[in-house]
Amino acid sequence: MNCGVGEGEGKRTGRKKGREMEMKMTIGMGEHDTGQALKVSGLTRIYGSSCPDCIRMTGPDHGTNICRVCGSVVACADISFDVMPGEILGIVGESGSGKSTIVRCLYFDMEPTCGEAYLRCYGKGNIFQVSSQEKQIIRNLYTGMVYQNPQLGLKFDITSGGNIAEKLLAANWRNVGRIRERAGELLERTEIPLARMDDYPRNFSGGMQQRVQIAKALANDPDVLLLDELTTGLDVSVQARILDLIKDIRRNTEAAMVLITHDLGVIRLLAERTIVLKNGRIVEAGLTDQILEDPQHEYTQLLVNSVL
Amino acid sequence: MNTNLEKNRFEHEQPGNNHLEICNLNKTFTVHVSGGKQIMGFEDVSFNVKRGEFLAIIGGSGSGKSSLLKCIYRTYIPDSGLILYHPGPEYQPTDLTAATDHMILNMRRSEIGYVSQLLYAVPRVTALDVIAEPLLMRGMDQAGARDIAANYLARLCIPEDLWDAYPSTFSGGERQRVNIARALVASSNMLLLDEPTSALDPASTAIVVEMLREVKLKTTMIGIFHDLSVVREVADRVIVMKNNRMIKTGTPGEILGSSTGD
Amino acid sequence: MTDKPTLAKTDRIIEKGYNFAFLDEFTKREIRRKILKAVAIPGYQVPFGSREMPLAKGWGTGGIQITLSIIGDTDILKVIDQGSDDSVNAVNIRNLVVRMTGAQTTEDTTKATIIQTRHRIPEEALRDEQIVVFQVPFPEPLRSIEPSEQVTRRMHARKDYSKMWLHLYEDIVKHGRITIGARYPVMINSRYLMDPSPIPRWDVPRLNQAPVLYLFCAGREKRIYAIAPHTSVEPLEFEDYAFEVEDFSGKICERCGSSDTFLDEMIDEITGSKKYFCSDTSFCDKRKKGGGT
Repeated sequence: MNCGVGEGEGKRTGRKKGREMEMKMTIGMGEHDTGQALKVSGLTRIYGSSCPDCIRMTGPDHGTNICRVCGSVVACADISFDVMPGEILGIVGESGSGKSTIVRCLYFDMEPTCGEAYLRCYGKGNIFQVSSQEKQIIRNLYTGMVYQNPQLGLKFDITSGGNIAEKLLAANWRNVGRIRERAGELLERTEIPLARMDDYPRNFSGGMQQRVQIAKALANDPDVLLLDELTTGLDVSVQARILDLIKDIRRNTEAAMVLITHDLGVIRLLAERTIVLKNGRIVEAGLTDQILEDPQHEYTQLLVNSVL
Repeated sequence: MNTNLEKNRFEHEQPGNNHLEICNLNKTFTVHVSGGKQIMGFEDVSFNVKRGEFLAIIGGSGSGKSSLLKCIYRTYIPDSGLILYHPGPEYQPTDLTAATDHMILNMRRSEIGYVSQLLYAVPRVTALDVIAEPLLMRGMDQAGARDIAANYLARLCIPEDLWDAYPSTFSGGERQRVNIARALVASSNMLLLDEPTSALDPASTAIVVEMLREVKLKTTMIGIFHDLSVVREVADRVIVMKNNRMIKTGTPGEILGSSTGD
Repeated sequence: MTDKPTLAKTDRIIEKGYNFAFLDEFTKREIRRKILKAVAIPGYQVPFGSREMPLAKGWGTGGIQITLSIIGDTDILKVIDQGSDDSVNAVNIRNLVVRMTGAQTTEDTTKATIIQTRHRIPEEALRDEQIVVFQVPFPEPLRSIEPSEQVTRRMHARKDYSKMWLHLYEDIVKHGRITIGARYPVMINSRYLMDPSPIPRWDVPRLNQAPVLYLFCAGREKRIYAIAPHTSVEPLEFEDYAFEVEDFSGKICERCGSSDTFLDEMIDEITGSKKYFCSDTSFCDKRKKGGGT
């Protein structure tokens, strides 16, 4: 599948030789695995009929993601990135820049128009091309998702323990005692009193709902965690606890995390590398401190300057 | 396991063995939000740092010192030039200006540390855990890491009742000591120091200087200092920057004169 | 199961002006094709064009369409309603089939070639040449937990039954056990989750690796599905909360004295005491006469 998009490598001139050097110098650099936990390339999602001009007529250079020819919305196009095990990748951008579309596609909540994604733990190729039954397995066993809106990630008429159990049941856990034990562990880890295990998330505070979502996402020790605006709308002290929890997860698991946010403070605290999105395209990618302190793209500079 | 490797490196060390070579490095900032205005960072900087050497960079504010340090750490992207990092005699040098983000991150984990002027940490993490974090990331167990962290906090004269408090509530001086401890605990092979003592009172400065002296035995350091007495005490060599250029280099004695009074 | 009546047999079709077995040939052909598909994919619900029948919906319009599509004039039919051959519904269905086909009928499970049933499987052992036709009110086992047909179809396609498992988990959390009585969800051939129609849990183990062909049809919901002979049928259960059939320990049938059959509970209107009788009436009669196994 070709979307008529060129290789996205061009904007990183001056650093092109990096790839081949990476192969040579891994020994001296500590024992870090070079295998990406998640590799996405050319991910594109277009709403509407789409025409051959859609990609060319949209993007940050045109200041819009709506195709002037056919009116289709290019939610994101030519998105390529990778995440190492144990790494947190930040994705920032204003609302409507296509951030959520990327994680929704990776969690199979929506289908990409074209593009590829590979998981290190799933050896059967491009995960967008496999059967829906396989996708179900990938979704439940290898990935976890935390939605901005807990209503999307949790069933409010099912107990919090049951919400976690759903993931375990999908992974063929068939022992109620062991399921409850595991759910208890996860609730403890996310600082939810065990006594609330058989209580309903609709009775929980916003921060607690987010923590139940995180517990649920962690249930099967996923290799990739997708976090969509997980602290947006929470008050500051609650935010801090959740960020702390994410750091803790990062220390204690090998999960690669994709962190979607428009909050540069969250990015600074958590992400090692960051991607900046505008009008559905990556305008800049780099180390988080570089993005924040030496932003190269005009839009990134605007974004950083509006906060600081 | 890393320390063994380090010992070997030092045993095999040749006199004049460079740890870092910087050749014709340039940096300008293009400010798109101000109509593409160009701001000079520094130009045409070249110098070498030997393994185990302590290099101090001095100069007025805006002379490009910080930019230079940040280019080495890849917080800034240099426009042109080379930054060759030599991991050890048996390895090929790496050009940091061309390294991928992943490579830089790997180097930050084990090779190059950075002490910023400010401490960034998750608000709700205690001082002990902030310092222990680099150790935990390397797979050390929680208890061991906290032990070492406690040791550092004690050395830096942070009162024990603050160890389990959040650094965000600390005074500037205390916070900066935590910041330094966090960098030192990682025992990187090269440490970049961006005015580490600027927020400290004389007593704390003395403690920090002593600690820097200690780690100097196994770490190459490049530091920016305003306090010239500190430079005299720790630096092997000094680079002077002025108007975005490197104008002089020499021993502290040559650059600063032998007098101790300013 | 031949449906082309010979000339001689045609005379036995009592009602003139109707097709053999009421349904026109094209309808029977469609239903047979759908049955073949259902047998080929055990547990999968095959949509079909359910016809209007001279019965009210909910009174076995699905079951009768299957029976009429597969019956030949040499078949012997048994029709039961909750185990009883004598209920009004069973009698009427039997009479309709006889008038339309001239087929013989029986109350003896062992003699029947086709058994149409509502809510029970006969107690006696079934043989490989027999076919059991179930009347199904709700073919979708996931409907109680998911109202959308689109979503349940997707769940079947993906073999994504975690929501049903979750339902059982919540049941256990709330009540300490799985409270589902009839319509206990079963996995067919480790692939499709299936509603076995409202048979009691007692009958569920009879579905597993059975020699007989089980056909299911929901007339109102327009679905046919099947369990081919010798197919694995597993009720959903947890390691620590196993599937259990109804417990009749210490209870026996008041008529035949049976202690190994599914019993109906009756309250004696005069004394107010509970009494138990076999649900399978013909088998009860057989035992009473001393002819049972």
